[in-house]
Formats: sequence, structure tokens, C-alpha cells
Amino acid sequence: MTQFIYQLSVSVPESLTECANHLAAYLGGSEADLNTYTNARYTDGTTDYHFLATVVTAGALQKVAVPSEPPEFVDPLMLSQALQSLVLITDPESLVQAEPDKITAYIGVGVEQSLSSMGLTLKPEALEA
Amino acid sequence: MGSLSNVPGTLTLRPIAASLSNPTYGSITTGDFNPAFELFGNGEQGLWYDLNDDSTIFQDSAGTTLASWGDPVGRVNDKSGNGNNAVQSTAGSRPIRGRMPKAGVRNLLTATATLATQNVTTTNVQHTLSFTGTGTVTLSGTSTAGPLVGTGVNDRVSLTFTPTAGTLTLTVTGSVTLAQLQTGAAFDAYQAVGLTRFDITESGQPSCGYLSFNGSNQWMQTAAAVNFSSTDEMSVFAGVRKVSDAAIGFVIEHTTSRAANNGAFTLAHGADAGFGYSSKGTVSATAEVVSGITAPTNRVFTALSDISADSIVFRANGAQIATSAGDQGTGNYANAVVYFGARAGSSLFFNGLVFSTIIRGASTSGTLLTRTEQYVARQTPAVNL
Repeated sequence: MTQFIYQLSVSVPESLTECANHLAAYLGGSEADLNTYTNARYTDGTTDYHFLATVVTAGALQKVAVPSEPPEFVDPLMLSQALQSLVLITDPESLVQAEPDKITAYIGVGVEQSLSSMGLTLKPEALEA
Repeated sequence: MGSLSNVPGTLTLRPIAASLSNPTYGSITTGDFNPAFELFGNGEQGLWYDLNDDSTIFQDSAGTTLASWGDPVGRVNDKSGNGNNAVQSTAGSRPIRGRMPKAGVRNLLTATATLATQNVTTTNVQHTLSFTGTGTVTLSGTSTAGPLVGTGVNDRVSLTFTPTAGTLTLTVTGSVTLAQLQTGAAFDAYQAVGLTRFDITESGQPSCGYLSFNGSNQWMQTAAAVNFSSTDEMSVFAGVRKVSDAAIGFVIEHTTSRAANNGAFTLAHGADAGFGYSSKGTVSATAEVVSGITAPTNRVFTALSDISADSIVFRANGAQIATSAGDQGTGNYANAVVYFGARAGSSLFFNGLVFSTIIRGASTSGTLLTRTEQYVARQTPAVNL
């Protein structure tokens, strides 16, 4: 039976890319997760954002609520900055827009509604020739 | 060691390539069609991902923890014999493993064994709620019909109503079990929905396993380059559910970008009700339709391409829907990574489900083509060939 029962949506302003990747590695537990945010494909019209949607376990959420010792590949200062910048919304009735100095995360909200509520749209993508 | 002739029962082994034209199969493991023998028995390059084989799908890219329904998938092992496993090393970018009944999904609820209060998105058509148990479901939001009161653990009660479009809240009190909300004026066979909607089953219906790509950030790639450099012929088979027409979605692309690389191919759809396949030696050609495949919809797609012959045949559900005789230039397909669910993992993300994927670096025709499409159709809900 799956333990990945929580939908997680995250927006990261491009300026917080590095610390958000350390947060992702802290939660994901793998050095490869330092490459989670690589391409800020979304915008609120002013600022470019990364956007991620996935499923997580209760344990992952617990690691945000009560931080534990990070693995050696996670920079504690970067992780601390990410956690201080994190706005975690667990009530779907209280969604807030993305902000240029915040990592905004929703629990239990689908991709389309998350993007809409965060105020993000896809930047025009280069089409194939 | 005794003679096999003394062993009770029947064991018929599939002959190796020598008699591919008239194969027989062992009933133990191969069923009636085994792509590993049929499509790759002569050493053809390629890959085959069987998304119903629990033993080949893992949460992590190292392949240490098996993935269940609703889990992120970090690795799918290739069963073609070529070792072209698909991986995703970044946890947040992994597609999700799911299953649904072959006949498709009716039940709109989640965690239906013992229902809890929840919200459901409804449309302005007739719906029927049914359940067993002694509890009560009270509706609010897009409908205030009811309430529906249970009459016993073995009795199924039902309520038909027409909500408006929007969010329907079902407030549960007491014991409400085996609950189902579906469109229409009657309740059909119960479909069990697990803790997430990635796990939906129905008694008497085969389940179709899939990978769900969210159109935003989920994708996979082969762990290493797939060496197609000895062939200029390609056969691509995929059972697909397209969830959205809103944006371009790449289901499969060989190389980081067909636009930038020679010897590449792409299975994708545009921001329209279409789908298509492109092949490139040194020049790109495309066979596509731009209408008639409106999301949400399921298809078994087949693409057959030949660079030197300047030929692409694109099929859906066993029928040809587009062709191209456009120039593909020269050369063979590249020795390059194959990407799934996006272009190079960075753009043009696919929003949908993939039930089956077979890529074969050779031409496929005749009975073998038909049987392969039938095989993929068996893995794809609501497609019967």
C-alpha cells in the first residue's frame, strides 16, 4: 500500500533556486535531488518561478514541521534559508499567491488549481523546428 | 538427470529466432504474445516497458524499492533484453505508478472502502451515489439532494441527482462502505478506489498499470544511450491516455531534441486535438493529425518510420491515420538517450498516462504488427483490437 498519499505543489522563485534544491535533497534523501529545480519555466508576469508537483509521505511533511539532521550533501545554511522562506499551505480554502521571496507549497491541491492559485503561467516554450 | 519426457504435464518452450514465423509459446510465462521473443528475438535494439509487471517497477533509480500504486517511479526495467531501463534520479520529477480497470473509470470518489467526508468536482449531468452500510451521506455545494441513509451492511442504497458544475461536498456520518459516485441514472459494478486515485480496481476486470505524467515536471529517460546507429527503420508502440489538449506534450523523444540532433524521432501532440510522430535522419518529417483526438481519450499509437525510404506511417487503434513521404535526409538513427514525458526533461511536458511502451529498431509489419498492437491494446483501457 502506498504511503505517498499527499499531493504536494511547490513554486520557487528563481532567486531561491539553490536553497530550494537543498530543501529538495533534504526531503528526497538523495544527492541527485540537488538537481530538482533546474528550469524556471513559469512566471507571474514579473518573476520567473520553478514549479513542481509530486506526491509525498507523511514522513516528508514531518521533516518540514520538525527538521531533523540533514544528510551530508545538504548545506545546513541553505536548508535553513529554504525553510525560513517556506510558506506551507495545508488548507485548500486558504491558498496564497506565489511571492518573489517565498517558496510556496500547497498540500492536497492539483496541478492546474495550484498554478492558478499561485498566479503562475507557463512562459512561452521554444517549439521544435 | 532424468529425461524431460518423464516429467508429467506439458512444457512447450518458445523456439528462438529460427521459427519466428510460426511460433509456439510456453503457457508458463509467455502468454499468447511475448514482445521479448516476438519483437526482440533476433537481437533487435530497443526497449519494452511492461507497466503491469510489479517486479520491474521501482521507487528509486537504483532499483532497490518496488513501487506500488500511487508511488513515484524512479526506474522501470526494460524487458526487451537490451537493458535500456528508464530512470528518474530526482525524486520530485518522478511520474506516479497507477492502475485502472480495463473498461475505464466510473467511480469519482477516493478511499471508497470506508468513505470519509470529501469534495468531488461535478459536471451538470445526472449522477448516482450508492453505498452499503448504516451511515449517512449528506450533500452540499453543487447539490443538496438527499441525504442518502444506509439500511444495512449488505444493502446498497442509491440516490440519483443532477448537480451543478463545481465542487460537491459529501459529508459522511456513520459507516459508509463500498461507496461509488458515478455519472448516469444507475449504479454499475462497484469500483474500489484506494487512498489515492492512482489505485482503482474492479472485480472481474483486468487492471491496466500505467505511469502518470503531470504535464508540469515529471519525466524519465533511459539510463544510457540507446544505440540505434545500425538501423534507419523504427517501430514505436505506445498505449496512451491524453489528459489535456492545452499544451504541446512529448510522450517519447529520442535525443535531447529532434530539432537539434540528427537520427531522432518524436511521439507527441500539439496544443490541439491531435497527435503525431516525427522522424529525422538529417531532415525532419512529420505524420500527424490535428483533430479527432480530443482529451481525455485513450489510444494505441503505432509509428513506423524509414529514413532512407522517406516513409512514416502513423496509426491509432490499429488503423492508419496519417502518413508522410517527406524527405528525412540520410543516415541511421542515433546512439542517444530516449526521453519520456518531456523534451530532455526540461520542456514540453506530457499531461497524461502511458500504459505501455515498446520501441523497436526495426520495421514491423503484417501479422507481427497486428499482434503487437493487440498486445498494447490489452494494456490500454477502453481500447479493444
